[in-house]
Amino acid sequence: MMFRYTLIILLISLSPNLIGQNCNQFHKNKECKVQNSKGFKNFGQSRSAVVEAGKTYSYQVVLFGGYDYKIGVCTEIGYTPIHIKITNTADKSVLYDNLDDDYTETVGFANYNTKNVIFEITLLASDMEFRDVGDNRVCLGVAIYWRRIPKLGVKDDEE
Amino acid sequence: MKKKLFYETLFCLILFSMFMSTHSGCKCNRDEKKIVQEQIQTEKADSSPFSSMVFLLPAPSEVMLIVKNYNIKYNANLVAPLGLEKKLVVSNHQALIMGIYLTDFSYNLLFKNYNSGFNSLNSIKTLSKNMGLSVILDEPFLKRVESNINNIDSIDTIFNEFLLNSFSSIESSGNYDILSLIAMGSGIESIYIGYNSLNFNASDSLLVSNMLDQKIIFENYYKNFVNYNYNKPEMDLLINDLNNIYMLYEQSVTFKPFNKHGNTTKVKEIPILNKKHLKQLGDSIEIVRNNIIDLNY
Repeated sequence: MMFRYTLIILLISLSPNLIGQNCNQFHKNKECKVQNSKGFKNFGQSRSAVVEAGKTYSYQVVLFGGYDYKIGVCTEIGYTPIHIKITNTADKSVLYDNLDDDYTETVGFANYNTKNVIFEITLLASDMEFRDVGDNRVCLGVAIYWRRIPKLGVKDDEE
Repeated sequence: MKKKLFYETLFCLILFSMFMSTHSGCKCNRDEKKIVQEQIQTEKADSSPFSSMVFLLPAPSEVMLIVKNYNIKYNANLVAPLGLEKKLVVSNHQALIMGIYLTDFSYNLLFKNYNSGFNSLNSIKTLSKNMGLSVILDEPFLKRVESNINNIDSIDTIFNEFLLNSFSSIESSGNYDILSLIAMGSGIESIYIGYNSLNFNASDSLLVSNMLDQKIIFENYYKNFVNYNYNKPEMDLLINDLNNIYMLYEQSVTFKPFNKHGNTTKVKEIPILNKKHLKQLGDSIEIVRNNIIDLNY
């Protein structure tokens, strides 16, 4: 009797159909964490979302001038690689495309002038086969960290 | 007994087959309510002028930090009067004023006016309760804030965490339009403080830099707001006024081609400040901010 009830409870708890998926705070996952983030703080524009694999999602982000940024993008197991492209909204120039970088999921850069950029993100999920409606919907996390660019150059000695 | 065993086994098999169907290649099914909410969201967004884009918004404390980086001085007269929350009934008004108070809280903390900051928080708490968001701004959170009120770094972290959690909660309940109103209130208060803290005797290059920063920040708040409110007649007046601000930001700093030494291959653009439009911009920001406080939208 105990075994039967245990089996029922186990099947219920393992079935996402019955529980539903929640991507809230997904970007706080350890997979979204970036290396060497000492001195960096969480940026308010970090986000999590439910997305469909194969579709491109565009996010416009304000990057403040005078700050270093590190960005980590993550998704659930099996849905990589993730294509990330960052373009400047002002002149449409491509600032970064991880297509040329082996689809790496983290990127860091210094930004000297405040600008709006667009993150275009696509879950390529190249090893997946989707057989049912909803199979291709998955969590996406975009974790952004920032810190003030340190003052550079030699300081004068104070007497 | 055998019949009971048969039905129990059948029940287990049904559950098992449901489990297997969700793992046929991948998982990721969501409950129906979320799917419907997102479909509605997509349909609305498809008709807005900026529908293909999701605009991410900086936290009020981050915007205030950027404003402060221009070495501005604190001005208590720029902070909105507290107590407005007591007379607010309409949810749109509540959300806009909430946004204003959130920015004022950040502004006060940045300049170490902890008592004023804490007073703002009490108003935010009342508004949250009236808007049904009190589960987010609960007593344990307030106690954490109170015990860290003198430590700007800790309170900044706590407050940003609170903002992200509360915005996520509002988002996940599908109330994107309320969130856009809170964000717009915050955005307006940010540019109001930013503009009125400007030193107009400073060099044109500094003013240009400041204006360009404000314009870029405002653009995201503005387009995000339009995305979620473009089809609401009651928001037409506010959208029109915000559009006016957006156009004046565009006109305050224009770009002129600069071709050094007649070089035909390299043409640089230099920003030019238009002081007439800059003055009009300040007036427009003041009008919108006062209209929000006077509950005219």
